[in-house]
Amino acid sequence: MTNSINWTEMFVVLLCVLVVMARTLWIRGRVKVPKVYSPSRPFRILGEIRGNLNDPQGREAVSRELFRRRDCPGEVHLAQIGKERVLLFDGGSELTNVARLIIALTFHRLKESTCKERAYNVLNVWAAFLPARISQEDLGDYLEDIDRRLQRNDSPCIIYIRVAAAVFWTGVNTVSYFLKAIRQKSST
Amino acid sequence: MALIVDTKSALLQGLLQGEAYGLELIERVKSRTNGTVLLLQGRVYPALRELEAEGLVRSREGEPIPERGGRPRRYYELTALGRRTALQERKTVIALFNPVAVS
Repeated sequence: MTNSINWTEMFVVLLCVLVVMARTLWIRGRVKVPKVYSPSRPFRILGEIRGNLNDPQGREAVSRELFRRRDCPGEVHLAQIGKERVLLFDGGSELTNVARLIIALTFHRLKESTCKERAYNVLNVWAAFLPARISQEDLGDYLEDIDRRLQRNDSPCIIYIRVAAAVFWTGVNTVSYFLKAIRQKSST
Repeated sequence: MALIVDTKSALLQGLLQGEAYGLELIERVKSRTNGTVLLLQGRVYPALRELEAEGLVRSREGEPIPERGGRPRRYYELTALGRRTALQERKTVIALFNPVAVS
């Protein structure tokens, strides 16, 4: 009888568990997204940018920086205003610039908060399966890295790739952590 | 081009500059080598735990941080043995690549 571990089987099982967990959390995250989102933060930012938009040069800069259209209810343009990536909503001529910006920033914040919420949800649930040391050290560093990337306005794709990497590596490290402990026990 | 450097050696050399936590060490090694040595985040933590088990580094927990979901950072520093090993390793590597030794 052999005591050797079948790494391929272990890897496949781990991968299946991860896929099921990610799918469940993804669906849960989608359901939890509020339809109407109006926190105070977009309005504070609005105050900072409003001056630029009322200024003809500022408006020109915004329209120049519009670079891609998106399929959303109504017509929405993705734009870059300084370091901010915003979605500009074209609701017709009756909307003032300020109203458009409120909608734009709301879309932007909604998108950002959803991405962050999903990433943190997945990793916090995953942390329950990890030993305390790996959860605090490895996963903590991954969360810090993800937070920095969100601050830098990295694309959600990059964030999700980092989440997948965090889940994979912490999973691998947990398996090797337990195997090492078992080997140490059996040798003593 | 990424260089082939042992993770443990890179970590020991990084820790010669002073105490640091995992993510900080990765960035330290990257900036010191102008991005030529990139440590894989998944490989760094087991290496640090092995170094600790070998008595080359010691660790302490920092304060809980909200960005980490309330988890504390774990700071590592070299022990006396670790410092001696890191300096010895540095001397050996320099001697190995010394052009005088080749001729």
